[in-house]
Amino acid sequence: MPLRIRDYGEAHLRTDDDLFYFLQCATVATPKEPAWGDRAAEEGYALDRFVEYLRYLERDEWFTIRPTSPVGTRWTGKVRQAGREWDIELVLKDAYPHIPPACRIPELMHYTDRKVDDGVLGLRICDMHMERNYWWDGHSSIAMYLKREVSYWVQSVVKDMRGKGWL
Amino acid sequence: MPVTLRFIFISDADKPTVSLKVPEDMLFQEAFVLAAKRQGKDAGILTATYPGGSPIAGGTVAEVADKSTNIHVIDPSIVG
Amino acid sequence: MAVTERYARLRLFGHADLSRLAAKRVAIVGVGGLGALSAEILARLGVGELVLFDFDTVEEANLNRLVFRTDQVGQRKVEAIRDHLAAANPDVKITSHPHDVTDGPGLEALTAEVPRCDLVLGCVDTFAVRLFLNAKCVAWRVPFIDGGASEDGVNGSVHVVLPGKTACYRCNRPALSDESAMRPTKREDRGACHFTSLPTTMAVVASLQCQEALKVLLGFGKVAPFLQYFGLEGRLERVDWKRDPRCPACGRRR
Repeated sequence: MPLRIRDYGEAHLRTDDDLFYFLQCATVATPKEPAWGDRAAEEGYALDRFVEYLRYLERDEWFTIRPTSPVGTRWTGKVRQAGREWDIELVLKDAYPHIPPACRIPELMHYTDRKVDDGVLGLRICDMHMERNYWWDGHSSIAMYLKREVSYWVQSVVKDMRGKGWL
Repeated sequence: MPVTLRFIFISDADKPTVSLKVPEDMLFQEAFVLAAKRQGKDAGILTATYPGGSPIAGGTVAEVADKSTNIHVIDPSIVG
Repeated sequence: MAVTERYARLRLFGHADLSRLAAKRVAIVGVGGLGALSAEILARLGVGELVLFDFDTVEEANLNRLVFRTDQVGQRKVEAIRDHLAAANPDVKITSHPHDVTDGPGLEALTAEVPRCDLVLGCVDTFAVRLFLNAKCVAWRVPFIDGGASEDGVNGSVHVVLPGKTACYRCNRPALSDESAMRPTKREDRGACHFTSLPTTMAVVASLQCQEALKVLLGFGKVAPFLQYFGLEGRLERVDWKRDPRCPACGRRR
């Protein structure tokens, strides 16, 4: 069982929002550090809890995702919205978790300009609106990023596409 | 017992002030977020110090107000 | 500094010996609107070595700012600026790294080069990378000067981080890890992910950044921990921030 935030004991991380309570990771380690194994396990745990929450409480499992690299730095899967499905790719760079993951949804990105250059993926989804209300820190997880950035990005792009009659 | 904190946004034109009357056992972070929302901003990257640049002393409003009830808030520029 | 006419006007500078810049090594992360101009200013001042990091290529939309030319569209920014700097001052040694500093070869290059540098200029455009650079510079005890312009293009700020002495980039931001600040706001309706950028503001911020760089490198004048420029009003504010003892990056005696 990976270490949980309540065991870790950091006062500033406790919150009354139960969802985010269990989506955070206790270990802060980059993929090159020895403690990455613990962190990768915690990321998987947080994703499992998030999927359970979506499946049973919100009844809207809008994504499926699985790791494609043995160490868990590359993830691939599908996102669903409005009855349609698109591929998604997530990359955790060597500086992760000090920087957020980079996410690519190529088929949707084709129809919008809400994308920015990225050194590894070429283009990734734009999360610049998070700059002003910046919340990412070393304990934030892929699950939190999916919830707070990817979900809104997909919703807004699909809304734009519907408005233009492309969907 | 409520305390009035004055958040002065020195990065904005005319340096607007947001006065908040908050309970003294409230976390300063929460009061700060409320003040930023009142000013129409997100608190995420804003800095808060006492006038003169000293760091905020303490976590609760009571501890912060002990030193001063005036807080200077700066909105940094982040486009490169 | 070679005894040539190139540095004749610099030799007349009375507050410090600018020839000492020839022994200095400065890293510039981000060679966009701000970084390219800072690089040119430092090159013309006679800094010994410049180490440049940027994975991006020159686009037509970048040409409203200074330094890059129309015939350089499509080239990597670090390669495009290399020719420009060599033409400006061939005495400067330029090392280019066309990689993302947060991953793979870019991170390895950053780890290899920056601890041997005297100063790092941060001219990136995301808050995440600023915090990352700040954490690295505090850990390696290398001075870090971050510059940025505002989203509306008229304001700018320069933040000087002297590890152990002045407030780091992470200090004094109480809401950064606060859960209540993290309620996702419905901002997804915002349009394209680019901000306006004026060459005037960029030039002011680059100049302020390089002026503070000179003071840090040569030890003269009074370094300003934080400077904010307001273009609409024509105002410059200085804030003498103190270190936050509870800062996650530099608190608890780093």
